[in-house]
Amino acid sequence: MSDEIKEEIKRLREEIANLKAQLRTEENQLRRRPRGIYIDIGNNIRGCVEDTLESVAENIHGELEKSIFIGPGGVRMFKLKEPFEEMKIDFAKAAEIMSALGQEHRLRILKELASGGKYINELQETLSEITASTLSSHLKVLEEAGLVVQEKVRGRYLITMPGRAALKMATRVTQFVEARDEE
Amino acid sequence: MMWKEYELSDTVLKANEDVTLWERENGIVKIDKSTLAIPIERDGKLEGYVFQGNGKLLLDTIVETERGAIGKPVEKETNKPFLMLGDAEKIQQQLKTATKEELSKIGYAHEQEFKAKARELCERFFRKAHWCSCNNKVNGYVFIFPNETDRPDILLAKDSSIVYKSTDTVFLSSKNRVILKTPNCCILSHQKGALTVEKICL
Repeated sequence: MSDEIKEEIKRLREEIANLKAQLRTEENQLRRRPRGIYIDIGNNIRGCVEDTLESVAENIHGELEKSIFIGPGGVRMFKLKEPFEEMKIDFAKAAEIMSALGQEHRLRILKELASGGKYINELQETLSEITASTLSSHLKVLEEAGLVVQEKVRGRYLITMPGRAALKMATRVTQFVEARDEE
Repeated sequence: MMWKEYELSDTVLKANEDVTLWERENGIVKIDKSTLAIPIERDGKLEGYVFQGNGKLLLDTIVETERGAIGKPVEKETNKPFLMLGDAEKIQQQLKTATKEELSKIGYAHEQEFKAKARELCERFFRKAHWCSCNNKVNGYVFIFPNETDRPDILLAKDSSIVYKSTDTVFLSSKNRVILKTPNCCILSHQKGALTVEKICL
């Protein structure tokens, strides 16, 4: 073995010994300091802060993407607790809503109200095939199901958000079934 | 103005007919015939009343949006004392001095008993209100309706602008702009559109 190689091995051994000593010192320092979370920010404090903020922002953005929908109609926040199949449903309430929808005249009323709030006489004019008393009872059913709301002072009837969603659902389902029947 | 600047009159009045205290396109406050009233004065000038009898507040705290209406109307009937500051002179003619029988119908043995109740309401409200003044010239009104909580329902109205706060609703309306906050949503609406933040728990 040449002298050069022997020298190199000796140098490397010393380096390993130094590294071991350095490691022991750092371990002792870690044992001595109080418990907690330590982030080694090194010399680049700004970079470290930026990295941390970026990571937090990414997490927040991910969560927001899952729970908020921003559309032309506004910002909607969804708190999705469980997948659709496991969602709990109040069948009695659902049946009440579906029952309110399950009448041609009531669907027509919702369609009329979708273009804006109306007084009962305005509805009466447009839906002349429905008698006044029947119209009142239909409106009551729709109101009880939360699909329509009546102003207490002016007396106009307005379609609610669930009402509009229900009308949309009825329209889509009908279109879907009709399209399938045509195939 | 602080409560110490206001005084309750010694005379207890009663409505000799149904009276509309305040009315707008989307709200109304009215009292039934025989409702008791005690005038609130400041520097000898009539500023408002404390009423007790059958009163009603109707307010359409509903916002119309492209995606449907949000909110529901407020329909509040009260038989507890409630306070009004505003154009009190307008209804003076519809009130006359209450008799003992009329006081007893509402449950008071004498005038002082009703006055004490009215004072209690005023002190409770004015203690929390740092400043309160209703200038009749600007057509402003303040209504305070006690509820089951420590914080009463408040209706402020000036011209067509309305601010209403109850335990679960805040409604601000001015011309075509509306802000409504309910336990499940917050909506800001104006002529050009609406911004809605909803809480939908699925």
